[in-house]
This record gives sequence, structure tokens and C-alpha cells, in this order.
Amino acid sequence: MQFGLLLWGWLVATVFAGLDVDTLRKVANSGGSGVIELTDENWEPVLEGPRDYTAILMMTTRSTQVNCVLCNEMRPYYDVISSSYRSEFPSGLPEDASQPEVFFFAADFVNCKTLFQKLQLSSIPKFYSLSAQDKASNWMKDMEEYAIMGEDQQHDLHKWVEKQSGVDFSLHIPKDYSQVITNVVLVAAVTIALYKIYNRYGAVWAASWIWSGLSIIAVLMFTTGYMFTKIRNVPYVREHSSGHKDYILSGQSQMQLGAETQIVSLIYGLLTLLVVLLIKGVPTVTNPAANLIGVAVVSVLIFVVYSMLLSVFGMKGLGYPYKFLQLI
Amino acid sequence: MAKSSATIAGVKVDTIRLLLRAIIFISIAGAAVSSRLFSVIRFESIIHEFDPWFNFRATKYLVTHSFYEFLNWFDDRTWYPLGRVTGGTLYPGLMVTSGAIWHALRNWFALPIDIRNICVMLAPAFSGLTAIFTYLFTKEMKDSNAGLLAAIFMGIAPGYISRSVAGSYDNEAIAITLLMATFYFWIKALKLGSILYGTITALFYFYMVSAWGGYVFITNLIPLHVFVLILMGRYTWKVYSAYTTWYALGTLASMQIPFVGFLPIRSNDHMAAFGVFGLVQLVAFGDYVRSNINTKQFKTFLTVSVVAVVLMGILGLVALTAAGLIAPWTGRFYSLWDTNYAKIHIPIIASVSEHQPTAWPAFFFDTSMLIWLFPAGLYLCFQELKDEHVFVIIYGVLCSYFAGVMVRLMLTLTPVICVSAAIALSKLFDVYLNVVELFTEEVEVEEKSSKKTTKQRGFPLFSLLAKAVVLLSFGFYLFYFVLHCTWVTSNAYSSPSVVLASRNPDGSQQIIDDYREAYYWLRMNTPEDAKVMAWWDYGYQIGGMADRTTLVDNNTWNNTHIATVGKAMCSSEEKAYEILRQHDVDYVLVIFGGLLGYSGDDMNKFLWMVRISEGIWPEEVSERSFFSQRGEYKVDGEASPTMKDSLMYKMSYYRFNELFGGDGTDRVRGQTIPAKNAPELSTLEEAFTSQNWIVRIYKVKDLDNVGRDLKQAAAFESGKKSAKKRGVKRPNLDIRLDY
Repeated sequence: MQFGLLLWGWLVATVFAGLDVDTLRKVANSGGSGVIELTDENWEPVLEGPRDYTAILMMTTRSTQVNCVLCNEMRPYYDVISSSYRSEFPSGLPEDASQPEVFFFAADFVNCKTLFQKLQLSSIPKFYSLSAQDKASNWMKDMEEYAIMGEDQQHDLHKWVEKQSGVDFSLHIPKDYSQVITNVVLVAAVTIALYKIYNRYGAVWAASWIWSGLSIIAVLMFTTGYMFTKIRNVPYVREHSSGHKDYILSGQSQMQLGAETQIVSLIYGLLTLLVVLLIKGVPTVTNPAANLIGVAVVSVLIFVVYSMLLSVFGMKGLGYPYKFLQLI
Repeated sequence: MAKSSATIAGVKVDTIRLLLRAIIFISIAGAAVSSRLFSVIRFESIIHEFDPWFNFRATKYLVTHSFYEFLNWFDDRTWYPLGRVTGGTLYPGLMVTSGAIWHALRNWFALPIDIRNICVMLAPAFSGLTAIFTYLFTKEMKDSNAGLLAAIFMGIAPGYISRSVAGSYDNEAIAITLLMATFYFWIKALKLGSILYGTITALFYFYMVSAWGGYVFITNLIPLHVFVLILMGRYTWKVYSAYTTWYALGTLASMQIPFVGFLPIRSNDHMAAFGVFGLVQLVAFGDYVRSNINTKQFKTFLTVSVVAVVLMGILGLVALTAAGLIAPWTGRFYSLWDTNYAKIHIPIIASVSEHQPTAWPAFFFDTSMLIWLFPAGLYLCFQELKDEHVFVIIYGVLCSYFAGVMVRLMLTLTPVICVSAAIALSKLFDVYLNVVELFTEEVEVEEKSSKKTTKQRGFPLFSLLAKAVVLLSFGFYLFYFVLHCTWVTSNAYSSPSVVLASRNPDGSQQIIDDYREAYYWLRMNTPEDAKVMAWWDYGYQIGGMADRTTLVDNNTWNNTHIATVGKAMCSSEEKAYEILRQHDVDYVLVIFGGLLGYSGDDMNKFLWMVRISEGIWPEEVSERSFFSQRGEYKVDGEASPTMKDSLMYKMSYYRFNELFGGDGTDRVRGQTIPAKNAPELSTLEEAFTSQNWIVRIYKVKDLDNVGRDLKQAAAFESGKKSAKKRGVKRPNLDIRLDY
């Protein structure tokens, strides 16, 4: 990647005097997935000028301010397709190939604002294919757009690239061995640790406080949308361009942020704790006055925390009419 | 308790207690039923949504035919021309229940009630029963006080109301009752080791299997409970007799349902129950051996047998899988655990909104304060941790996970939330509601201390105050809980979706009844054997309300047939006409919300039709061609030619501009429909358009008499008729009565 950046610096310096296939191939093979990043300086010769290759272009962004969920979801697919192509044809297509070579480009909104302005995009991600051409032309009209639909985007996008470029290549999805190894090591470590503990303190295995703790934490997580954040890959917070951060998505009852799971599970946990305290803890205080103070404090806390919960829930915008205290 | 012999005003306390309990039960049932009646009061006694219409139609078939005819029912009025083996592909429990009630009322009580009213009211009635079973279940966990609280929670918790309002005549309506009943009898069987209760559990399990596909939840939860008990070293003969009775009888009984058949011994969903059944036998045998030999020998015996059993199990599994007898590693197995698997490999799961994960507001929305009492209840269960508490804990944790993954499983989580919250709250009330003890204790203190000191506390002010604070605040929260439940039920779960309600500018309510208007028109004005083509969403409703033959319906078992309908909708008029003729279609029905701003219309579902038909005929249908130049979904002047040529577009916007006398405005998509090049139809003619244009019905023209193609014929006709005004919109036909 570093090398690639260096090469790009050099390329920019030579102002793309001749942006030929060999140079691009060098950049693309210089590491990573083979996707060539476009910036404000270098997109014009790639897209406008004459070229003897097919350009596949992804308009995307990794910026947390824009927070494009779909971009982050699609980018790995794109990378896999690009790296599959590059690993199959590292030094270009075979001599007798009738189709031009394919290069994969990606334009990030942050680095390539002029291109985004030119295309007047209202939504990203977008994928375009630009076929080889002899002279500069009205490329914006000629390019083909990929429609993001269906469920299996990896497969669909790959088929689309094949169709657009006329080059068939198979998809090599890299196996993430690191994760497998981590899992194996983790399971082994936990098993060994448990075995040791079991041998030394067999009672721990049967201790109800461990199990009750685990169960209650699990319930608190699951009932506050933890699985939602996992499945939907939602961001932890939403950043505005002004630097202001949203921890709670107000007005959207079907959506939530990662932080909301934490906030709400904290509230539920506090309430649970207070109720248990009221049932188990406070009655053990025998002095009536102290008992009254304890009860009063816990009750007030429950009231305040519950009010907080209602306020947070009210923010989710269902037109919910009930709340105790105006806290937020 | 020792107070059982006490009397108040000459009446035994126990009698009063019984009377009070009965009154409370009646009130709970009343609250449960009445909070489910919003839609009946606002609209009328009507079946809701889509699937209930099928259940309703099947029930009507059951009560007009015999039970055996119902089980062998081949329905030739759906999936024309294929038909559907309906009797063998449904869970008959719901229909049989309402059929039985109908017969009982008519024959024994001489009360001939319309089957529709029984169907509408079945869910609220069963919610009352659910409250009773929840009471019994919770009573096994703690005591009858907790039971009463759980019953009232269950009665009005929105999470359960969402699937059991009046008119929501769906399998879940009775399934939750049966779920709680099965669990109650299971706990009872386990506690007593009773074969009788084990048998009753099996019977209710059988009823559950006959009613809802979600029975698999019970099939796995009970074995898991037994498994955990064995792991905890709590195996007794009671576990053995309860489990084996339930498993043997329940499995045999469940196989009597035609739709289930041999699944219980083949599919992986049922393997856990089978495995635990085997394990229980082994444990019982081990138990027997241990009682007869000494410890050292038993240890050797245990090691050898465990190794042998594991090896045999693995070998057996491999052999059976290789032989193709069982298929334990199918997609469904993964989809619940690895949610990304479902997203990619099972698109139909990913596309249905009921299979989406649940965001946290849904939990609070459906259970209010119970959601934070739920973990407290689990904690208290852990404190006591008898066998039955293990059950609640497993149920709670497991179901929280499932409800988090899939919205519709909120329904199965709600009962355990209610039970657990009731345990916590009743424990709290046990501590703080007992004012009597305060005084009696105080008296004892007085007696002891009166001799020594002259001054003592006369009145337990502090203690009373402490109790008052807790009781008042929680009384207040409970009051709010009721408000919350009522608000949620009234706002979110009481719309029949067949009849829509909107507000006039002055705030008064306007009822939009286009669906029924159109279906009634179909029923009255078309031949009884007319075939109506519409998108599958409306198949059940057309079958149920209009009683006409449909091509596809909500059962969605045949993707190709759905794709055929999709292809007809998205191809040009001439192409579509061929498909229509091939399938004997007489009428085509589309839903159009552009005039009213009703967003759930066919133009918004249109892309699914295109996609599904593209999946079957990729060379004939291309999704891309339905988008404008800029890749947008447009219906205005910029719409792509393929879009403008499609049958769906033409049927939706046919004569739309005439309403505006120029360019029309589509209120759903916010786009202008140009008056220029307004859609023309030559192979179809408009037959009916409902008041607000939501439903539009077109008649498929017959072949031309003189052999012209229909386009020429239409051009010729319009040339001749151009001077005349267009005819009346609605055919003026005589009233026809059926039944």
C-alpha cells in the first residue's frame, strides 16, 4: 500500500503524461486488493481520456461523517472482485484475448470532491463501468451503471463486472484464517482455564452467581438491540459534519445506534439493580429510620431512572405521550 | 398458612379468598378481551390483513363440509390452473377449534352464530384462557399472588395483543394459549413425576403442533430443560417419567398431523428432543447400575460407556447423513445462529420484514416496565433455583436471543417477560404490602419491653411510611403500565388494514373502504368461475372476500407461477395478453395509491415483480430497463419506455389524467404524470375503479370477432366513437344475490 501511494505520488508528478496499461498494472499489483484510489488530481485522465482498458469505478466513502452503511458493506465485495481479477491475471490478459484489460478504481468522497460534483450524485455507493475508447468523449453519458439490488451482492457485482468487461474470472474469497486461529486459540485457552479452575475450585463451576450474572447480562444485551447492531452493522455514534455527535437516533423507532444498546442496557440494569435492592437489600436494615431513608433513596432513584428511560424512549419518535420528568 | 381457619363476619377467609380470586379472574379476562376490541368498535367485526382471510376461508370450508373432506381438501380456486393441496399443507388446529365452537354453540346451546363472528372473536377469547394458564404456570413458580400479577400482565401486554386483537384470526391467536398450557403441564409433570400430567402435556403439545409451526420451540425447550437438569446433577425418576411420557406420546401424536408427518424423526429441528430422549435412557441405566455396584467399578463403567456412546453417536450420525435419511445441516439450521447466512442464502427470509432483527424500542414498546422487571425476576429465580426456575431462566435467556434476531418472536418472549416480572413484583409486594405483620410484631415487642421501659414506640410510623413510599410509587408505575398498554394497542395494533382510516382536515375520521368495495363488486358482477389475476399479496383476500379463483396467493409455494404473474405485469400489453390468454385470466386487479397517497400499492411493489420474473426469465426481463436514464425509479415523463409500456404502469395510470384535466400528480411518489402520451389500453378494458382509486379492475378482452389484433380493433373503435362521450364508469347491473 505504501509503495502504491509512493507510485501515485510519482504519477501525479508526471501529470499522467501517458497513463498506459503498464503503469496502471504496476500500481494495481503494488499490493492490497488492486483497487486504485482516485483523487481530485488524477481522475480526469482515467475517466475522460482515451484508454485501452475497461475501467470499473466505485463511488464511495469511508468517512464517518457521511456514515454510508451500504458503502462499507459493498467495499469488501469490490475489493474481493478486484483482487480475484488481479490474482488471475497479474500480468495482464493472455496475448490472444480479444477484450481489453480491466482496472478497478475507487473514488472516495473526501479525496475526490470534484468528481462527485461533476457526477452530481445524490446517493452512494455507485458502480460504473467505462469501456475502452480511442479518444476522449462524453464519458458521463457512455458509462454503464450497476444497479444495487438483490441479496447476494458479491455474486451480482462479480457477474456485472464480467458482463461489462467481457472477461471471465472466478471469485477467490480469501479465507480469514486469522479469525479461525483466534477462535481455536481462544476456545483452547478457555477450556484449559476452565479445566484448571474446575480441578482446583470445582464449586466455581456450579456457583449460581456466575450463571445468574451471565444470564442477566445476556438478557440485558439481547433486549436492548445488541443483535440488531450486530446484524445491521450500525455505527456506534452518528457524527455530523459540525463535529456534533448523536448517541441516540431520535425520531427513528426502527433504527438504533450502537451507543443506544449501551445506554438502554445501563438504564435497564440500574432499574433491575434498584428493584433487587428494594427486595433483598433494604429490608435487612432493621432500624426503621434508616430503613425509611434507604427505601426513599432507592424509590427516588427508580423514579428518576425510569423517567430517563421514558425520555429516551420518547425521543425515538413514536408520538409517545407519557413521561414523568423532562430530563433530556 | 395457619390462617385458613380464621373467619371474617362468619365467612371462612378461604372462601372469601376464592371469591376474590374468581372476581379478579373475571376482571382480568374482561380487561384482556376488551382491550382487543378497538378495531371492532372503530370499524366493525371484520377479519384483518392477509393470512387470516385464508384461515377464515378454510374454516368456512370446514363448517360447510366434513372434517375428512377438509383434510383431503384440494383447492382448485387458487393457483389456477395448478390448484393447491390445501388440506395437507396447513396446520388445522385453528380451523378445527373455531369449527368445534361453532358446532357446540349451534347444536348444544341452540345459538346459531355466524362463523365470521366466531373467527373474529376467537383470539380475544383465547387471550382470556392464556391469562388463566399464565396464572397456573406462575403459581408453580412462586405463589398465587405472582400468578395473578402474571395473568393481568399477560392479559394486556401489547407484545401478545399485537397478534391477538379481534379479527386477527391467525395461528398465533390460539398458539400462545397452548404454549402456556403445555409449559404449565410440563412443570406440573416434572414436579410430581406424574405420567398423567406427562400425558396431558403431550396432549396439549399435540394441539399446539396442530395449530402453529412454532411448536418447534417447545420441542427444543423442554429437552433443553431436561438436559440442563441432568448437567446440574438433578436427575431423578420424576424427570425420567415426565420426559419419556411426553416425548413418546407427544411425538407419536404430532405425527398424525398431515403437514408434519415424519418430520419429527427426520428433521434436525426435532433431533435435540430425540437425543435427550436417548440420553435420559442412558442416565436412567447408569443410575440403576450405580445403585448395584461399588464406586470404583462405576467410574470405570462410566468412562467406557461415555466413550462408547459418543463414538456410536458420531458414527450413527455420519452413516445416516451419508445414507440421506436425515439432513441435519440444512440452511435453516444455520439461519438462526449465523444471521448473515440467512441474509445471503435465503432471500425470502431476508426480504420479509417479520424476519428482521429487533431494535430496542420494540421491546419497550411491547412490554413497557416489564422489560426491566424481567432481569430482576430472573435474578430472584436464581436465588431459589428449583427445577421449575431453571425452566424460566432457560426460556428467558434463549427467547431474548431469538426475539432480538427476529421481530416476530417477540410474541414468544412476552409470556416469560410477564411471568418473570410478576415474580419480581410480587416478591416486592410480599415485602412491602404486609402491614399486618408490622403491628403484630410491634405488639410482641411491647409485651416484652413494657415491663422494663415506660416509653416505647406506639405507632410504627417510619416502617409504614417506607412501605407507603414503595407501594404508592409502584402502584403509580402499574397505573402507567395500563395507560401504556392501552395507548400502544389503540395506536399500533388495532388496524385491520383491509379498511383504512384517515383524518379529514377538520379532524373527523374518514373510513376508506376501497378493498371491500372492489372485492364485493367482483363477487357480484363477475361470473362465479372468473379467474382474477393480481399480485400474490391479495390472493387470500380475493379468495376470501370476492370468492373468485386466483392465480397466486400468499402461500407463495410456487415461485415460477408468481414469476409468471410478475412477467405479465411487467411486459408490454401484447406480450402480457398472451400470458393472460394462456392462463384463462378474465380480470386483472391492481392496487393503486397514487390518488390518495397510499404507499403500499402495486407500483411500489412493482420492482419485486420485475426481480422475481427476472430470476426466471433473465433474457426477457431486465430490471435495469425499468429505471430512467439516471438510474432512478421514475413514473413521470422521464420514465423509461419499458416502464411506460408495462402493463402495470398502464393499468395504474390509465385515465389518471382525466381526473386532473391535465397533468396528474402521483401523491405516493410525488411525481407528475404528464397528460401527453397518456397510457392507452387495447387488450384490456377498465371494468371497475373503487371510490378512491385504490383498487382498479380490468377485464381482459376476448379475441376480436373478425380476427384483427386487438390494437387495430381498438384503434378502429376509438376512431368510430370519437364523437361520443365515454360510457359510464360503473356498469349498471341488476343486483344479484348469492348464498
